[in-house]
Amino acid sequence: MSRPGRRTTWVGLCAVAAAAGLAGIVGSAVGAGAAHAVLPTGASHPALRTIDAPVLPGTALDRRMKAAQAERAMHRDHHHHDFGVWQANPDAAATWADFSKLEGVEWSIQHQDITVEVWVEGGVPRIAGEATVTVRAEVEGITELAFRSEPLEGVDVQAVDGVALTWGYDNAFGGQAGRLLLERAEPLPVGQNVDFRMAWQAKLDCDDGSSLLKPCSFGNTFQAVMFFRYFVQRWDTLHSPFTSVLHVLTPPDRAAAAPGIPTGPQSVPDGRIVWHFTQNERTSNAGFSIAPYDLTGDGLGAEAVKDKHALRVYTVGNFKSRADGFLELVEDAVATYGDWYGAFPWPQLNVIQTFDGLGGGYAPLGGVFMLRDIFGAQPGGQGWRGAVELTAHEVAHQWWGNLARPWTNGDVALSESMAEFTSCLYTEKRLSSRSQLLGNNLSYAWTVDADHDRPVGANNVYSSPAYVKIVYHKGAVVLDMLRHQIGEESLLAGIANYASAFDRDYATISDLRLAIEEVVGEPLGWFFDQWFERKGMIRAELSASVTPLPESGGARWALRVAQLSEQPFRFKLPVRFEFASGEPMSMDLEVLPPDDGFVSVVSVDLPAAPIRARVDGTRVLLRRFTGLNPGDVNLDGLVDGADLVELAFRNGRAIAVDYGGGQYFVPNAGYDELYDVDANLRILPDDADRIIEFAGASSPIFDAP
Amino acid sequence: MLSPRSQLCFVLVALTLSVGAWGCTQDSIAVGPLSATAPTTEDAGGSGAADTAQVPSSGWTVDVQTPPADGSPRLYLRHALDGQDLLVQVVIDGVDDLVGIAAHLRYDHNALELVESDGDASFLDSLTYRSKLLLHSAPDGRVLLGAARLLPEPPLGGPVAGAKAIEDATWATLRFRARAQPDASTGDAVEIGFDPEHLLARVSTYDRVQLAVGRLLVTPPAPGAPAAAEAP
Repeated sequence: MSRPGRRTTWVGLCAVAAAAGLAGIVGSAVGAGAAHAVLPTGASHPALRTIDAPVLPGTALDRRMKAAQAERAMHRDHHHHDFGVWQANPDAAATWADFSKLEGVEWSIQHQDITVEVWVEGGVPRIAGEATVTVRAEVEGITELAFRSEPLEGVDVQAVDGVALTWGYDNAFGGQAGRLLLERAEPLPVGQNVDFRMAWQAKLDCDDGSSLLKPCSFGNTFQAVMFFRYFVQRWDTLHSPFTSVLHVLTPPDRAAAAPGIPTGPQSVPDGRIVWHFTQNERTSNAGFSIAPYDLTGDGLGAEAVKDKHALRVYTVGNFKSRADGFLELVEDAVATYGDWYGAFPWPQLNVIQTFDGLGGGYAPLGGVFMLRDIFGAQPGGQGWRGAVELTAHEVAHQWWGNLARPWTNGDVALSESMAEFTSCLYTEKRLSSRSQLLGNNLSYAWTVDADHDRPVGANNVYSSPAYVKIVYHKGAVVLDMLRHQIGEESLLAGIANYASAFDRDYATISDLRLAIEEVVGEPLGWFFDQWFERKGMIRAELSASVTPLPESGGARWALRVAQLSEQPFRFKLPVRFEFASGEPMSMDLEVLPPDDGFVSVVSVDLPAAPIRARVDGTRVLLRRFTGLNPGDVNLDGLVDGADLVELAFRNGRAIAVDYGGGQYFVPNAGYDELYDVDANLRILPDDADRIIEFAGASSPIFDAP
Repeated sequence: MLSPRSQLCFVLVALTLSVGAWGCTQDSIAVGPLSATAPTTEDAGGSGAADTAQVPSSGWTVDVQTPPADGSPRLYLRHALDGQDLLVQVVIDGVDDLVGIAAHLRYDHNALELVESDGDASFLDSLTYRSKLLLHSAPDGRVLLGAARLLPEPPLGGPVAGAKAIEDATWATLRFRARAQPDASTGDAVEIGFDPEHLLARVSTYDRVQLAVGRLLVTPPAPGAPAAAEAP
């Protein structure tokens, strides 16, 4: 069956009928006595167009998107294979299949002891570092070691074990990276740690990217380094985690904050002080911030690490008055996620206020950096919802991205989609609102250009301009749909199973699926295939019919679902029926596309004809629906006064607004495209006029089971 | 020479002067308070039982069943006779905070022909809200009725306010005429009433209002029955 041909035929019949003045009767092709309204002119599916408009500035979605873009920039080194890694060693992926196999590779970086200092010289921020890098070989004959770094100056390398060492350093990839090559006169001893020392300097470009997305900052209050990798990694592998101790030199009136167990400060002879951060977990995410910090929560030092994790909040100035609120928020999030996914995995969590230009948040292992202004919010006050959403997302990264880590670019959903879903679930529970999830849903459904769309699990998803909308927004909604599909308890248990199985390991999206399947005991390949391996979402034309059942006195409600996507989706459709009298009924109807087509019909016998059928009323599904019988907004099979009544309650709900001379997208959770009869992205009195115009139109008769 | 419509207006005006007040315009069926010849008598006992009355005249027999006027929300019918025709008004009463209302009025389209219909949803108007009226005659003996209030330039979101204290507001006026039924047994009563499965009234909280409904049982005149006497 050809979909376009069938639609054309239907519209053609309507046009002929209208031309002949037979507004009430179409003809035998659709059943005697049936009437069908002509679709709005202008386009065959006007409701399916994408809004070509940016997000309304200053809205919660706008702030979340900027934060996500900042986070994306933070991870670019891990998720952009710009350095020709795979060309250099295409077999590397096979040997780095998971964390547990890291010890089995030829050699690895075990530990780095790094001292850094920052300053401004001639208006240019600079950083200098000294590091003792510990490596270990697992096989015989390793004499050459290649490392990747940021572009460096003044590099010097010395052997520690007395074995003669030659080395060379050059900038690679147009100056975007540095490559350090070491050659030893003797092979590394197998199974033994060997140190070498390196020293370097570098210029910091804090104006990389947009003005909101700064990798570093050297202001009056904060001096922070987020994106610059002040450590080396193996040149030819995707992942190169190591334990570390970071020492940060600061003026005596400042403090440093970073992930890890904090100790210090100690004085150094030149009057500065040095702070120490011990990271006993293998990771390659890091960052530090220097400011006149106040510390709230557990104190410094190893003695602060008791049987449970230590929790610290670093703030400056008057923001200290808000620190207790953030401490409680983080404690609650950690405890909640512990119930859902398994105990918090690290000995400490340091929540660090840093420069506003960060744009959002960044969560390395055991730490969370967030922009300054977030810390001005307090419970119940302005901005608190945004603070909760961002904090919840960043804390969730302690599990997603740091505990269980994405293996490839195509698995970034295991970090960002999981963190965003966790944040949405948390705000749903704690703030009793699905607005975060609904905003994500509408954002993807209405503003992703087809040319920019990618599957969530695509290896090239990172390169799409719509990356945030695909991975964060769609990804979170996909996980929520999985919750709807299998139940919340099963989903959380399945995710906890995954977290346990990939504790301190690298995983793929397939690993997540298998872990969940293990718990629920049913195959979920169909779900993961259609939502992670394909782009797009559910797009369907709906039409309903109601047939009396004289024997029972009830009625059969049938819904015809004609999917318009390139490939049809399988989904569980929530429906709620209201009747003129009696209690409403809610149920889920499984929509299974036929093997060879795009049209499904689902039906249910009801105690009476419904006065309203609300499909997906809470927008669980990632979808765009259009009504095949426009005006029948309540899907009771007939355009009548009840549709007018329902529209009155949605008057004004719009996802496109005119503001400051432009048109902007706003994720209005009250918007439902089925009520937008003239499909102009706004529900207005004009739509009521269309209902009145189409009054009496009933759905085309279709074969109902 | 008066046009037929003008003549009708004259008759109605004459009737109005003698029996009550129905307004009349050149272009529409008038609406207004009910004629005293077709009473909807109040039952002060508030038993909930419909009140009935039979009005035999001009060949029509109309059995009126109306919910009691005890202040509870109700949707009922008034009627008047005009020559060969039966005029029926749909009336809303006792509803507070109404945002929208919908109903299907059913009648036996084999016995009755709906020749004209007119509606008015202005009972939902206010300084800021404007009413929308849906009135559609379906071919199967059903009149689709709808009324709702909307702000002409609404905000993106926010609550909806309902209309206050609707009392005896006429929503629609319908003119029925008896069909000639050579093979049908005359004298059978047919109902003009509301389909209970298609009755909906919502207030500003989105809650539904339960409406007590009335109906008419009418026996159309036999073919050739004399028209109603003209008012002096």
